Amino acid sequence: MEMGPVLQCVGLTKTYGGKLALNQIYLNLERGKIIGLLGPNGSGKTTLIKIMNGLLRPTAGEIFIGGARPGIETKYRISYLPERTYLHAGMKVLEMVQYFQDFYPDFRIERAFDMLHRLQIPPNERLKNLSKGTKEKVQLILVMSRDADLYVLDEPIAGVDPASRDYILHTIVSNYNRNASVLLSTHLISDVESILDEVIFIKYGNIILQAPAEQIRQREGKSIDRFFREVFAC
Amino acid sequence: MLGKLMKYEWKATWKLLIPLNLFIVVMSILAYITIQLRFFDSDNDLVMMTGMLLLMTYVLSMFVISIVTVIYLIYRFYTSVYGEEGYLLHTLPVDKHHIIVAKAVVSVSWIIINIMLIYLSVLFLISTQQWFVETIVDGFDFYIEAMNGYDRIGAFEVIMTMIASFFALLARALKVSACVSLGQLSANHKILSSIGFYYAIYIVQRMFTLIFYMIQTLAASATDYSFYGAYSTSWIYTLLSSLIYCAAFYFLTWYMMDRKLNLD
Repeated sequence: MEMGPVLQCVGLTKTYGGKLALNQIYLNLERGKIIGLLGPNGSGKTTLIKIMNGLLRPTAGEIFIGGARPGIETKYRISYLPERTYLHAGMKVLEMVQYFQDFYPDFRIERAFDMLHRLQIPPNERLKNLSKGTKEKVQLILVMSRDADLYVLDEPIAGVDPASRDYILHTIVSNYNRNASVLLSTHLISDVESILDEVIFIKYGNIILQAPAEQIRQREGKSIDRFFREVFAC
Repeated sequence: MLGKLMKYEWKATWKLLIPLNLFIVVMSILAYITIQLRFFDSDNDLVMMTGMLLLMTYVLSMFVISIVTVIYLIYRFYTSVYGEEGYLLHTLPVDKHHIIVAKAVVSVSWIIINIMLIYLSVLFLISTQQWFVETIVDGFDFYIEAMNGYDRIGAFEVIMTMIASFFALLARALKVSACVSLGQLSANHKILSSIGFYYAIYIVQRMFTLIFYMIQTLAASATDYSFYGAYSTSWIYTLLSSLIYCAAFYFLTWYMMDRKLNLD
């Protein structure tokens, strides 16, 4: 079992044309936890996630995933679900499953088919014929069918119906092990609160809080959802 | 991983490009029948009009299909690398060099397939006309004779010309990749920026060519002129400049993809 933080940010800064998106982020994510990355729109959540996945380069500072800088090696370790549909619309669900199996050695095809079956998604259906919510479910199934070190899920339940949310959250909880962590970015805090071990609040590109979920609830005497609404009240 | 990337690139592109190229075959057969049965000489207006229409459609389809092929390949590169599918492509554990090579090889292959099909189709139709074949053969004989007259142009020069043409095509494909990659730096108007970069680079390339030929003309006096010399200069310049452009555009694409990736 690997030791040390699964993710480490050291003075991570990102600017877009002079506008500060991330400001000197220092962050350590431990293994074996489900961590909520919570913040309003434009707070820097997606920018941070894109840097983790090598889709953006930081302006300053460094980021390490399992001790390595973003690159081919870290892409084997991170399983990333973006906030948008990235699947080729002309492909069938089955073809996407084979695509993931071809590129990721840690992909578990039987797990993917089991989840597709439970969510009643036909493998031979083309993605362009599926609803937006079903496409998001397919993406989540593909991402969670990997045995990664870190699952980075950007708004994983935003587009799905409430009935499917419980199953998806159950899928997330039951598919990570003691050596893996899940970083979950969402606006729907009340839906995910029950599964979070740790919470990170991000505001205007600054990490303003990182603490265990239970500690926040005890210290503040309220739910994280309620506390979030107070901290980020307009 | 390169093999896997190429496999999926073929699979993603053949859904449109195989039917398009099959359409060339179908149109060639229809045009062949029209010419053989001399529909356009018929006394029946309907048959004559159908024949004319078929031949016009044949000619038009050749132009349209080759343009659609190129536009589709550019669109495919843009959407799969810098569009939403880029989120998947750039999070695969693959080398960026492999991504560029896979896209370039598949794109250039499709363009060569398309060019060859159109070329064979035209040859196929011409072969039905005896007088045309004779003219072509006579013309070719004259060309060979002229070549022999100017001496030394043989198989080596012809093969080198073909190799130079291949690299010129590859350089053009990589130029498009580089321009699309540069265009994605723009916060808005990414496609417009890509087109702007393409024409800016095109002008610079034309200037280089002009300067090269001016120097070459000045260096050689009029009495030195030989057909062989001009022919050799042409393919050598095309080959060398294409190799340099291939290297430059490849590096530029890799640099933008690896160091300046900016997915919205």
